[in-house]
Amino acid sequence: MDIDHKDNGRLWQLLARKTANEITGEESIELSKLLQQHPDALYAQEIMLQEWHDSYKRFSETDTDAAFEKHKSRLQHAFQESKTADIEEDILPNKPVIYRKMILRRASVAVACMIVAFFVFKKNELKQPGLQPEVLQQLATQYGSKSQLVLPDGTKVWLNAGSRLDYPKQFTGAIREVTLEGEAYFDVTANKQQPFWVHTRAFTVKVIGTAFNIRAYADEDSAATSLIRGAVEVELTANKKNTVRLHANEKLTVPVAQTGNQEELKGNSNVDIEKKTVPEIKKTVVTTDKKNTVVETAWMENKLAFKNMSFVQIAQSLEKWFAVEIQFRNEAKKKLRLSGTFEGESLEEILNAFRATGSESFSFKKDSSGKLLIY
Amino acid sequence: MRNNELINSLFFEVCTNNNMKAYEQLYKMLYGKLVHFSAAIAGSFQLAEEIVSDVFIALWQKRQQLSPVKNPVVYIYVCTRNASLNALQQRKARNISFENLDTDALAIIPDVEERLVSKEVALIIEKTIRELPERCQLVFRLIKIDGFTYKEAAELMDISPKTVDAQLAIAVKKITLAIKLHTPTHLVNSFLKS
Repeated sequence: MDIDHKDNGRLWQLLARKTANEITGEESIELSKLLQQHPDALYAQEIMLQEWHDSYKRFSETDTDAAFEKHKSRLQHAFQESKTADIEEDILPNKPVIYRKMILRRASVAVACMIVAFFVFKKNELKQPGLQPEVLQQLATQYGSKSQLVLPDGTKVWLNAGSRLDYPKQFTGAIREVTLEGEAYFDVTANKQQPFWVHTRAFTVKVIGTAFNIRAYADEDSAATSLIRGAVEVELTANKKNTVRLHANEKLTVPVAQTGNQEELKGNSNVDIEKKTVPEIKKTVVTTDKKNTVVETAWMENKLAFKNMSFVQIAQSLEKWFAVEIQFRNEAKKKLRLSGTFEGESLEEILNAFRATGSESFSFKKDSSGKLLIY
Repeated sequence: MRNNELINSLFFEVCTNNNMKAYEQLYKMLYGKLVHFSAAIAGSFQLAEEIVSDVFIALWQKRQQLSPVKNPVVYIYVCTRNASLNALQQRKARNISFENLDTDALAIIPDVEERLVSKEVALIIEKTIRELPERCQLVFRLIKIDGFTYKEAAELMDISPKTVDAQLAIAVKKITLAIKLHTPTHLVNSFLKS
């Protein structure tokens, strides 16, 4: 029988219901019998069931983010001018037909929603703008300890001290997304169909499959990513249009003070943004010491490596590594430039080594509360 | 695909806990779809972007009264429909129906990345859909892209679920015939074997 025959009305109806996910079990059996007679329709069914998209004016994630930023400032204006009563009256349906029927069933649904919502949002509050729909898992390390894990896709992650990684139980979306605060080394399982993104406060690193290090602690004034092999794309949070491509052994440093995201709706937040200058980003090569240890990833081998770094930066690493608070009692000492690679040494041994090698010496002592003072 | 459970819990968070993060996520999840839906009615993407923003401003302001809403997605679409119709009325002062829609905003096309269809056939499918009555195009879009059920689409368009069923069947028929006409038999066979 020809597929265009007028008796085929039932075929189209069932195919439509299948497309809309409105088909019943019996209808499904009926449809597969009909499709055996019409292989063309079977092929069309597959096309009907596959993913479709807008053919005109497709909105990217960047477009949507930009739209929300714009929307936020309109929302603020609406508050300030409080002429919103008009908008409400115009738009919102006056007759609550849609929801009236449901009120009785709400109580039980509400409880279920609350449980789900609580779980999702408790985690999301800690996170970045790139919110993920999945329920998130979290791995966190205390100061003085490190951790390792394998993500659901086989990607290996080493988490340095005082760090936190949010990741989904399963990577179900088009993109494998995780969020990092602190320092971690990623060895990403390659998957061209599902890129891997790491969100941090300062930037998002986008890769297909490669190995790289990210250092993005909340208390440090810059964040950096260093690529060990392959290639990655880094998208700056402050300016989504600004994407930097990194190749093996390259490092990107981004000042963080200027990329703080607005958490709250504040009346004058727009002014603040304008005052901020475009972050000055720096692309360099990764640092190696005399023994060819890559300084940026030395922590993974239980080594602490510094090469010509300021004492204040080094102190930040030492604080996390040894779970100790360090305070400078002499501002000038913060700027000392120091180098050294350590493995297994105590904090005191490291500081003594610095004292012996630096161009200018310093003193240190622990106060009664265990805080380390440098002067 | 639409994740109803997530949307419901986001909406619930906004209404009961004033959660701005949830509001942002809800906005971003629905933004593209709502703009297309609104532009189809209002006939302007620029206007549609403002309309969607207005809908969400109203949503934020009325959030404490909205917890009894049964189906948040349909509710937000109905708000968007009303706002779009209002905007159109103001612009053109004429009778409103789903007969004068912007077909650019409605147009959809199968992903070619799935390798089921060639680029050429995908374009023919798009053209075929664009030649359907506009109401029929809207039905197809609401089912395929926005993930509505028959009942939800019917409510939104003020027609019966039976009409939705019939309109969708027309769309499916035309698309299938167009595919058959433009795909060589050996390609269909090779697909069926694989």
